[in-house]
Amino acid sequence: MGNFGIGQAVRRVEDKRFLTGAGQYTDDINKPGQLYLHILHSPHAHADISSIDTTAAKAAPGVVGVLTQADLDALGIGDILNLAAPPHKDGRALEVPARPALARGRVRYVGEPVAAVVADTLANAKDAADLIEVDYKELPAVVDIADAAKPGAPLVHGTEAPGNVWTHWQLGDEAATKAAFEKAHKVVKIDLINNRIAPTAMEPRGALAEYDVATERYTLIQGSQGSHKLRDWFAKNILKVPLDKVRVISPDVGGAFGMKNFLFNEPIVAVVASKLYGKPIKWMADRAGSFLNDAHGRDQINHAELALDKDGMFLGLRVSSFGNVGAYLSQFGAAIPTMAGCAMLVGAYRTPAAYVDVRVMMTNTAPVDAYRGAGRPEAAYVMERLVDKASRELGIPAAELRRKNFIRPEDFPYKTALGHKYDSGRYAELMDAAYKRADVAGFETRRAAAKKNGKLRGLGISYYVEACAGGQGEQPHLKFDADGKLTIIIGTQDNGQGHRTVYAQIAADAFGIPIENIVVKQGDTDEVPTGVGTGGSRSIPVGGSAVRATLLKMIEHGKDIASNLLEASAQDIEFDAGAFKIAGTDRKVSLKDVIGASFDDAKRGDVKPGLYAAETYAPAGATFPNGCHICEVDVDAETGELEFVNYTIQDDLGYAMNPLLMEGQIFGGAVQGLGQCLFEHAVYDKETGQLMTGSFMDYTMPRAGNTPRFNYAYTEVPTPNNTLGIKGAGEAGTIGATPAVANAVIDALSAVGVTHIDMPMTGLKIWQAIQSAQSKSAA
Amino acid sequence: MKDMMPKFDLFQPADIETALKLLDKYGAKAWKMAGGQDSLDWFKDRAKRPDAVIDLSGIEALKGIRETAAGLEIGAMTTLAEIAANPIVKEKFGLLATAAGRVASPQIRTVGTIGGNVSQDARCWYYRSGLDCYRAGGNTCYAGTPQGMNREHCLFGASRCVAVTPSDTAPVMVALEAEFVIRSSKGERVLPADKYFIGPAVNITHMTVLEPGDILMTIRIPSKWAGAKFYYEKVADRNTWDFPLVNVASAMKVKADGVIEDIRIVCGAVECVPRRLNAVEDIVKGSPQNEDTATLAASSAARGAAPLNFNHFKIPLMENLVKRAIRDS
Ligand SMILES: Cc1cc2nc3c(=O)[nH]c(=O)nc-3n(C[C@H](O)[C@H](O)[C@H](O)COP(=O)(O)OP(=O)(O)OC[C@H]3O[C@@H](n4cnc5c(N)ncnc54)[C@H](O)[C@@H]3O)c2cc1C
Ligand code: SF4
Repeated sequence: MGNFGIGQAVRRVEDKRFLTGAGQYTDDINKPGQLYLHILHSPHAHADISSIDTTAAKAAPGVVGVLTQADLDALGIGDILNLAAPPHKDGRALEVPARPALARGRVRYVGEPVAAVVADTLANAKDAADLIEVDYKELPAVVDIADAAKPGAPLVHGTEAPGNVWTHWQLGDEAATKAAFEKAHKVVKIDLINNRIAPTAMEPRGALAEYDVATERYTLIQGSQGSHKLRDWFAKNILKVPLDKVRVISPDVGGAFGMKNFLFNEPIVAVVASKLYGKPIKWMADRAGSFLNDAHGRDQINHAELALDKDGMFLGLRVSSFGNVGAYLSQFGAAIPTMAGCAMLVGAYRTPAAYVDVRVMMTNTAPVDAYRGAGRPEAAYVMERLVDKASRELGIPAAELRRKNFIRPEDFPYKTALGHKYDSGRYAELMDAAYKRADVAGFETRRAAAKKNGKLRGLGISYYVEACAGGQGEQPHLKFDADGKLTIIIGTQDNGQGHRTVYAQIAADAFGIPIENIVVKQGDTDEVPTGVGTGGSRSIPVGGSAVRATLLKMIEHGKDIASNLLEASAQDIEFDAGAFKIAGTDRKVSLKDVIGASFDDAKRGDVKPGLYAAETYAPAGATFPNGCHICEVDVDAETGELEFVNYTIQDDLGYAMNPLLMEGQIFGGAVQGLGQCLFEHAVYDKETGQLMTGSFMDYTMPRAGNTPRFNYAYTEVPTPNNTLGIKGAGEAGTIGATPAVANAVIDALSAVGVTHIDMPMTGLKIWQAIQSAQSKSAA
Repeated sequence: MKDMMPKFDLFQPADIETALKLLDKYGAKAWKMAGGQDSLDWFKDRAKRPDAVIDLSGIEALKGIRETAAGLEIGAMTTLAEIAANPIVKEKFGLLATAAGRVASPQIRTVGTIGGNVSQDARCWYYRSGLDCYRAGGNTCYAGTPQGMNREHCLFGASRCVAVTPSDTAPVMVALEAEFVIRSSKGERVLPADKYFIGPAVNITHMTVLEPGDILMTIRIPSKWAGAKFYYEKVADRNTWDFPLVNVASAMKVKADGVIEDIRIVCGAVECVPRRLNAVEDIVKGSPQNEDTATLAASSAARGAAPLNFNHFKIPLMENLVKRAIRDS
């Protein structure tokens, strides 16, 4: 293993380019003669459109065209597809309502794209959009779960979904769970709100579309999490053309968090307009547009109950949830509150019986879909808050209650009551390590000292486990050039994580070549034959294992060539430290020579020319990253302000390919998790349906000053489910942080008698909770 | 339609005379711009549409911090970051350095100026979004209604408009008895800080006395309070980037025996102007600096407050901050 090999904290090879501003994001790319697309968003949450008059807009300076859904329908453009339809518990299929790119006769949320202007400059397009006259007849709107569920609530899609329930889905064994509750010594209940959040990627969504008349081909440049999916959707569902007529290129991507997985309205319009007007079309969301029309995350209400016996052993878990998926089903929208995360509700514990039922609700709000963790953060939040509550109600310390119920190392592979097969883990050992590093033993002394300074000190713990990196495989293509440069072509998509670095590390390690000699290509469907994309923390576990499988195949091919060069049988040849050797001898030939020979008909022997391979690798199963977060906070009772004192993480993410980048994923993820817990909240006005948090002035992102210094360590418990033993790091931080921070806040506030507070736990909410607890105790 | 500035002519004069001439020429259609951290938002939101923008950043005479016989002179174009880091300010008027360092974020402090900070407009979101309210020259107030979102708004001094001063440095200026040097083509005038800031009862469309032809030149801080015991605290939704929900600035002189000899204490974000707490000052003067005095003072801090629907929390918050200012400075 060289300096750049796997397991090394190699700095990102991408850094120089990104940090010097040399990155190429969608908006950095411009085509000669390009026109600009601007979208007119709905100002109403719910309204019928009686007419759209585009005459004045079409006549405005610089305007090339104005489009409405009527135009798209006339061109036969397909609607946005849905890919997740969890069935009703009675077996009925979910009705998927149509989702056109531009509103068809009715708008259903503020910000829904209504019409599109294409002009020579963005300013002209924006000015012209003001001249479009839309005649709206406003309808009553409903924006939150509680209101949508009320009898007589406005129906977002009429009778297609009575009571605004898309589907009432279930998982687990209802009867067994009921029986478990009947014999329970104690039942602990909790009601939680999982706040709605806006994804806010640093780079907003954008698209640059071009149509080539000669080849009748569309090219779409768009930051995404996988260009192949987009290509397929555009070809099959939207444009209805053969696959080869669409090329999608994802250049550098500035953050995605799930949201850039999806097919959105605006790029469809850009693609259509590029052919219609015969010019490249550029569209970039501005920040306000991102808040309005990016797919949001979370937005659930959960009611959970845990049945325990007299020793504190878990007997059963019952969860009943509502998930708000917005006004239309985004591709995976309905899966997020159901299939994506619910099976993780049992968490890290041996819970023999569990049952979940979920109502997927629609409201007059932007579609909701996967956001970092996609269902698993919701599950971890429910279970880890419930376990903490049980610990308080039973008087069993949080660690002890967890330890009693943890799945033990010898239990793996462990089949949970909700159907997952967990791969591996040493939960109790990790929790103990975290406790030691966080000096939990000294906590009460610190709490007493803090109290002297007028501070309420709190300690919160979470033990999360999540599921990722299962499912489809990846098929990379690897090839050596004659000069010894290796190209890795792969269909996952970096969004800033540093995939290029890690894939290169894997290859550098195996071939014994410097990392600079390796190029990673991704994102262009013309260059990359196939790909599943990036999501669910799969890229390094699955993509990395696939790179490994492919390079092993190349080495086999290299051995054939070496056997010809060394005049030995291929079986006797081994590859090590950059050379092919005859086993047990010192006769060898260098990788460089083998590469050279591979292009030389005279030397390579009876094998295919060149040194390249493609191999499909699919994981044996999902992986289950897990770990312990311990958060220590101070709350200032006189102002409600919160300060992080300590934050300790002990993770098991399987084998650590690159600890530096892994930490980066965890820290960023944890900040997103604490952001949801303390600050972030996408709010729609209940009366008007307007998005109240439409800018960073109102949508509170955590900033550097609001984040702790993470005290990080990890234990490597490899997964058997992929060849590299990696469990995945992309979402783990987010999943672990939210409940740990929440539990810490509640622990701090318990000193003044507060037992519950919902997210986001803003300074104001904390303060109000303290005030009302104090006035109650005074009364 | 956001994020696209309407057209204007940009002038970048190199001296004050040229700037004043331009201001006279364009009158109310001119906009003075310092660091632009308040201005550019107005333009991008298309809520203010000046014909001419006079960028003051090329005028050297407006920059820098100077020590004088009477105290300190701070040019209006001095950045907040410079003030926060300046050794003399830190040594003598730590209160100002602290407050300047608590404004917004490092990025904003690096370009935002002290002149702009004390002259910034109200952060009432109805007004900022371009609605035609009283402050914008219209005839209604959206924030003061029963449904109005008025968590950030005032406890005192409402007069049709219920907006507050959002500045972190303004209360400090009142506490330190700063003087504001203003020039126009008609000449120079000098006003004490508590006359610079004005409430809606005086002029509902202005937060300061500045008229279209006026330029704030310098802020003078007299030596009177140099080296006093200071206290500054700001409570906001986040500890960076956010405007104060309430802030407090106090300067106090304490005798060797622990008795408070003199004090000025001012709260921001509770009224349209920085609110000097005379009652608190009267109570604590001559009393020992301790918990009892602080508690007594706190109980009178918010006397006369008239809270709106969503800002009751500001009363105990203000009391708590005042208590700490007296006790902990
Ligand atoms: C995201 C954000 C967060 C913020 N948070 C805070 C905060 O926490 N605390 C806080 O106090 N402020 C905060 N601010 C406000 C910011 O600090 C001020 O807007 C900034 O200091 C203004 O300085 P400037 O030089 O950029 O002013 P400009 O925008 O250039 O000017 C502001 C106003 O002052 C006038 N003006 C400026 N200089 C002069 C002069 N010399 N003579 C006459 N008139 C003049 C201008 O005409 C304009 O009306 C925040 C602003 C933003 C955008
Ligand atoms: S508080 Fe003042 S600025 Fe805000 S809406 Fe009312 S009048 Fe306008």
